[in-house]
Amino acid sequence: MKKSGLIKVGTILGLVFLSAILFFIFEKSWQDLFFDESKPTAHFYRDSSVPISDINLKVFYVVPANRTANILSNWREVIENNLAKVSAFHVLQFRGLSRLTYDIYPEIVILKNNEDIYNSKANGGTVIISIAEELSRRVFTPSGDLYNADSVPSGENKYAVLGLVYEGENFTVFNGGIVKPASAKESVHDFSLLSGVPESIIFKADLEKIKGFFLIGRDNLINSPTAIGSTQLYEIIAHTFGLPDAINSVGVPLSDDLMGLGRVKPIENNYLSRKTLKDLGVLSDL
Amino acid sequence: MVNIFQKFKNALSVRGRLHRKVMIMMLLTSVLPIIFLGFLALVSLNTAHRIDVADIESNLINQKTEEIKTFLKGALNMLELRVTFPQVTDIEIGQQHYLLGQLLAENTAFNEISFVSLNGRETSKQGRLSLKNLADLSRLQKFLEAKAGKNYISPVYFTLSGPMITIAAPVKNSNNVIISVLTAELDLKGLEKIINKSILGNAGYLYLIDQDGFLVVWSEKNNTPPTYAADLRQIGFTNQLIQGESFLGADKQARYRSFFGKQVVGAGEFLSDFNLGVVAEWPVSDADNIIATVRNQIIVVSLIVLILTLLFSLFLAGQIVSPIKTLESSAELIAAGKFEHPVQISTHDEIEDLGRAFNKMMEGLKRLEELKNEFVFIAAHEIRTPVTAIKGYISMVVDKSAGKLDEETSRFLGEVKKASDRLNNLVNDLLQIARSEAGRLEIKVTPTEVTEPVKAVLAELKVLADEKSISLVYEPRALPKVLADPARLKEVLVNLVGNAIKYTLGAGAVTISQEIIGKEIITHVADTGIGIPLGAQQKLFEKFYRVPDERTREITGTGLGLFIVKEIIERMNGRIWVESESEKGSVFSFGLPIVSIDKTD
Repeated sequence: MKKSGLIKVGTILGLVFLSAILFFIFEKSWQDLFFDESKPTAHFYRDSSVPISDINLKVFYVVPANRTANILSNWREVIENNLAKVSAFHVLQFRGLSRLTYDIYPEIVILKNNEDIYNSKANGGTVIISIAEELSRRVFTPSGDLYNADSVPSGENKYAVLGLVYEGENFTVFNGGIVKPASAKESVHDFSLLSGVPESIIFKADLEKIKGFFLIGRDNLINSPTAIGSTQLYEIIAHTFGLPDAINSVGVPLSDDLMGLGRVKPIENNYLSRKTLKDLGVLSDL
Repeated sequence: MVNIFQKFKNALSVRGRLHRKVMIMMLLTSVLPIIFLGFLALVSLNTAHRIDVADIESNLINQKTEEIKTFLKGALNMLELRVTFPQVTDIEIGQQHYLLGQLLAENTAFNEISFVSLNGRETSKQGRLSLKNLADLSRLQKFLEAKAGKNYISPVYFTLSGPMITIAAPVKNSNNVIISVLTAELDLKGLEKIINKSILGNAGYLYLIDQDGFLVVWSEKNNTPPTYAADLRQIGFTNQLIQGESFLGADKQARYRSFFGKQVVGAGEFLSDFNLGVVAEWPVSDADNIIATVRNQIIVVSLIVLILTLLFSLFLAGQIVSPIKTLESSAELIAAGKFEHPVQISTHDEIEDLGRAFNKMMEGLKRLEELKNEFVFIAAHEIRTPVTAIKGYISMVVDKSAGKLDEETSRFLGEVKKASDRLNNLVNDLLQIARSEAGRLEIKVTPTEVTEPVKAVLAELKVLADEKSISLVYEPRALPKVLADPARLKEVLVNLVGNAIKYTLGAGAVTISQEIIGKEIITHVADTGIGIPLGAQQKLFEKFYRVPDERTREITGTGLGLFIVKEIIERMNGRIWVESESEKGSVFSFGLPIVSIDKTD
């Protein structure tokens, strides 16, 4: 190609290129794209070192030896309905940053003792410990008579919680909290001072791989007069990741949410307050 | 039409520096403004469109903001009860129940509502769910603020039933003294109607976010239904919006990929009094639908105009430069002494006038040339007679026909005779050139043998060659006849062989060879002389040109011989050229057309 032809082609291409550059710059300024991919992580109450983005409940229907005649025929359905509600509630409150899954042990666990043995310890708050320890020995250890490998908490990334639905006549106790090793030197009081979690929801028990546990009477789930069984269930589940009650010592609510005034409301109308969510890492700032 | 097309084609085919200059100048003065204006048009269009989109979104948000405020303030106003009695005491329980029932009936957004006495205890409660427990609210913010005389609006919270807020207001007596507090939970799904009634193009939509950037209510226009409390904090301007920054107006609107997966133009406003943000998102594909069409049209039209301008620039530059090139060609012809080709320029402007003036100048030059030729012819013709006489008489004197001469006189007369011979040659050459240029050179082309003239010329010049110990080599071969004037052909050969002998300094050889190439017989006259420099070869056939060389200064010559040779050869429809290398000799070649059978007949 001759020199003049090259100059013409070059001029045309140059102009087109110049136009394209100008247009690109213009379009770029028109497109104001900005994204922030960072996401917060849900964690244990006021402790960001313990993630709770995946909470797994190992739930058992436990029946004292003398209460087998009272076993609910639809026990699984009752438990599952309530767990489904609390699971949905949990995901909603945590804005999807934490999920609450559950595995219901397929068999009814008949306890070794009669209810009076367990109930007699109820006022001392140790009924949950004694049942949980018995369950752990029988179900989670290979030498146990009910050992089931699938039911043993295994996932390192999961926050494992042991749930007990207790078959007891007029038994309306519901309790739960975090589990510390029974062999630990620190007392419950020491743990409370260290973590800021109230003593009432700290338990020392021999339960391997279990971060927290709860116990609720099956009457709470089916016979609650104001249909607040699921609310109570979630309240004690919340204790397992350190969430304290929002009521004072004489029972006056300190907050409007489920941990306070909301505990007497159905779960459908309940929520966790922004302050609570901040303590759990869901909200970064208020 | 064909003429125009041809004109266009010719204009486009013109090349040269002036053409480039004109074209670049035109590009600078036309294409750049087109590009600039096109770009400016696009910028203006986009800016105007951006402002329009922002205005539409802002107006919609402002309208919806007012509706949302009306909804929430209306609910709050319903709680601001004022009783007619002056006592500072709770309303009678039965009346409380009645009032609560009325409020629930009037506003379906109330989910739960209760009277709270000034000590913080709920005195009555009604709701859409089964609620029986009356609680102590004395430590709760909603009670404390309402008791202090302020209306309370909680942050948005999410329940399985939907997003809600809690509101509370003081209940006052006829003396405007607070006697109790009314609290209520307000279901925000009531805002869905307000949001759904929005129209933003074909695909635009609105949604509400709470104080933390979570989705509260969204328009049904979203094809992908999200969930309540979906986290929008990482999307677009949500983080700035919930901190109270307004995103209304062209300066603030943003483009980003929305939570719903579409590229959108977004605008928003946060209602800090109600802990709600209103966001409008308009899919770019819909918002820019019209502008994209117009923009594409502008780009296409600009490109077409650009290309046409480029072509027009080429054409116009060609049109301007073409007649100048014509004038240049004609000037070169005139320089070569050819006056038979007047320039043809029809541009109907000053250049056409210039062309006419040029033609007049050419006619004048032609006339001058004719006069000069006439003068040279007459002068040469008139001079030849006395010169011939002088030459004859001097020859007689030198030959001592007029008596004996002493040695000195004889030497002097010898020099006079040489000068006379040179003058005679010059006059003859000038006369021949004048004849030729005046068209009086007679050439009678006939079928002619090409070997005989060579033999004759070699025989004629042998004496001259022998004097310089130059051998003349020629091997005649059977060749067809050529169309030539035998006398003129001999004249050509004498000139070329004579030159070869003349410019071979010392002993050497002059070789004549002939060959048939195509329809011509080519005769080569090769010598072993001093050769001709390349620069001189190009001027060798011009009039009066002699190769400047110290060694040939003494060799006589007029500088007209090769010009005459060339004239004769070309008049016989032949051609002549030279190939030479300094110090190695030269080869002069000329070709003459072979006689065809028809012509022979």
